[in-house]
Amino acid sequence: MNPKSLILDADKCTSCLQCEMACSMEHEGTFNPARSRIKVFEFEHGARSIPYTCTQCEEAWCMKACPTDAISINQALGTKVIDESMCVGCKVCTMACPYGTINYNSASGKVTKCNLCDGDPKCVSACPTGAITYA
Amino acid sequence: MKVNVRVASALREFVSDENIADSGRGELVVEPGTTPADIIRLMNIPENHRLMVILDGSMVPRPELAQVQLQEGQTISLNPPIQAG
Amino acid sequence: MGWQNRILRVNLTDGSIREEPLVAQWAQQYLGARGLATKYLWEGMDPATDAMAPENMLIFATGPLTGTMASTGGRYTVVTKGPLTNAIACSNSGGKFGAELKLAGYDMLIVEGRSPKPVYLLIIDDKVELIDAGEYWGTTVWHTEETLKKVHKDPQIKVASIGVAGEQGVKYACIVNDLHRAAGRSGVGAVMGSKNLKAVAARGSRGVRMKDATAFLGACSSTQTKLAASPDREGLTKYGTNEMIDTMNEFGGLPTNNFREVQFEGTDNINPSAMVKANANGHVNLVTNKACFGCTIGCGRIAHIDKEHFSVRDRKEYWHASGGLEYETAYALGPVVGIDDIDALTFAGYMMNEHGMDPISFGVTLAAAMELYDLGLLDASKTDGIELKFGNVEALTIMAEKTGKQEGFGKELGLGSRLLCEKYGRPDLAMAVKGQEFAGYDSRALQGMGLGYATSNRGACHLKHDVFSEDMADQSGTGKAKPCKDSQDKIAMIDSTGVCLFTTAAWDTGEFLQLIHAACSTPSDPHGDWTSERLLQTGERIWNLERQFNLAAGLTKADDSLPPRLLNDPAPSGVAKGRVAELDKMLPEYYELRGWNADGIPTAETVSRLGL
Repeated sequence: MNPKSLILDADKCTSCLQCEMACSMEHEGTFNPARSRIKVFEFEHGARSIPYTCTQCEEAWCMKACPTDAISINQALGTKVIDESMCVGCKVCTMACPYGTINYNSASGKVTKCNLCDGDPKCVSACPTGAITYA
Repeated sequence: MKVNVRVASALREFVSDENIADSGRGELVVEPGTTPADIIRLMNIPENHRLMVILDGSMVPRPELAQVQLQEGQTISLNPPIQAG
Repeated sequence: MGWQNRILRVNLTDGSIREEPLVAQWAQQYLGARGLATKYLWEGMDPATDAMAPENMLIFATGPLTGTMASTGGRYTVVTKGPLTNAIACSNSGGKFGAELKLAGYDMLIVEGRSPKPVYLLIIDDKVELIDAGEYWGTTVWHTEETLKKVHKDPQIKVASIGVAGEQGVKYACIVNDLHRAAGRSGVGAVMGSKNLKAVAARGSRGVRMKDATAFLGACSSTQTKLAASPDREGLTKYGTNEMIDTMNEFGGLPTNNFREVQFEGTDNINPSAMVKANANGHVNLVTNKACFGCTIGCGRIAHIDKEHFSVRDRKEYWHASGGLEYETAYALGPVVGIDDIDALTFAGYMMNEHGMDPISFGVTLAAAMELYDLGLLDASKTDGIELKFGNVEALTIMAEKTGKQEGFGKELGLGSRLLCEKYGRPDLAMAVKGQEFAGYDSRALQGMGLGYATSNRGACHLKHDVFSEDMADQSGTGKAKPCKDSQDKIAMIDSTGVCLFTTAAWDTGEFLQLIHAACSTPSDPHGDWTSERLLQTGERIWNLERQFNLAAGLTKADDSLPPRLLNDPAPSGVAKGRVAELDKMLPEYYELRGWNADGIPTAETVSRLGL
């Protein structure tokens, strides 16, 4: 059985950013959308709002590119996980990722990405419109 | 007897009569003794749905919805209640 | 904690930028946003100052819940002295700008002085600078916002800016953020223009930290669940605030043709059903609904104009979607000027957002001009050849744009209804209180609303009191003073938290207490923990401080009034047919409940009870 994944439905997204706040609170301990692993992008004056985060792609280029082997696979969840103690903040992974969903945090000097909150993604329960599901 | 009915946008989704659901207006043929509560049922609007009923330019308080009897040619208007916008 | 405990003070005259600690004692007495900014204004300037003088202060204030996960926690309030009313101005906006300012680490931005040349303020966390805005001056809100994001290479920068209307002092110019949300009323955009400040661009990554995140998240979750379950909330999500237009029309409270009528026959062409119905070209007005920061309601409408419509047929630049009709825009660009062309209303709404104007004041000013035209006091030689007749669709679309660009007769419309009607000898035709135009509720059908309009500290406003259920139940003025006063106090508190008033679809003081207690109660607070009583008294304190500002600015009891049309001419139809506004009955009762004397001045006892 494949591990569950996050399903993002742009048609239901209203760009309220509750997901970004839940994410930043879970991972950074503050309400801080700028540090969220999930992002909502708005187009055409808000006619389209598109939530976006790491796809946990099978061919994880971030993992392959990392020179210190700081990124590994969690087989049960299918997530690509960063070991902060090994990350040196070289940003090679951010260049390798085709989707721009692994990002450098200037405050910590490390990179961050979605880890599906270890199987209980907080953005899912925070979303008021059902645009984010985990199945 | 005939009565006129007017249904606000926000309540039209409930109405099964296609013409009334589309235009919000209609003429109904009803029995004498019909009450606003009967019309609300006829329009398929759920009981206890938030509602403001106006009969020929007068408010009908909720407790009286099942008591007032409609008269020939009257206009009954069904609306969501007033709130800020 | 809720607060960031830092404010930013920018003096445009000498270009100085200072960070200051928030005065904690004031925060404990006035919460944030509307209340706290009023305190800073009161302490920082002479209320008699000319609104357009450099000495006027322009404050952008967030609340303790702004930038948090509290439902709708993205509001900011602009407080200043307003040029439309010469009274305190207090305009609240959603979108994302307010939260971004807070996330950058500031509870408040205070702007003072006047820059020698156009500038914009860039705030990126601790990096704050004034930058030459010469190339933006004379351009639109939309151009400014989109260009600033490009120039600073960050699409997530949030911008609050003014258009030409604000630069040239249109009395009801607003400050627009996030393209189509606005601190809309009382001319706060004109004050920004008088300071030569084109825009504030903010980007924040400091975040908002709570002292007890678990408790706060619990409060957010339970209050959000309650809001989600509310049928009123569901109505706002599905239909937007324009849900109200059918109700107000049937009730007989929908001001039409400059309040000559109270019901409009064209409502079916501009109501929520019309917004989702395909027209003859297969075009549907509504695109989607849209939320502000942190909002779990999403009442905003995104719409687009039929490409075949005359207003945009040859103007591709308006073929994209943008902010659509809400109740107040639908009323003020529709019934009050006798127009029911949904594309024309949507286009005029675009003009309001793009050029930075309050649609309520614009629409009611245009309605006054139409009545002057109807009476022969204005003619086409003065109105650029346009027939300003009620119902003339082109008069709406052309004048909306001319006013936004300050061309031709648009300059006169930019005066607002009071000065325009005075100029043409009929001041009684201005449908306004303290110079600010009415929202879409007629005071003869909604008596409590009329009292609220007359006593609102920022001039006619529908958002500072909530007497709707009493006004629905009884069309007389009896018993309206108390719910008006009580709701004014409660709303002054809500406006000071940083969440949106529409949460009251499901929330009462108890829900605000849960959130404020979790966010703001600290052992160091000399007032003790937050309680319901303390919250409501805070609201009352804020209301009275606003009143004191206005009295010191020179306003008197005579300004707590309504236009003669509403006091003397009976409602021509609707549930209140034959009634006039019963202000003379309600006002003395209201003053007494407020603890004010017969001249509307707070008594010494009231002042001391509230710690003013």
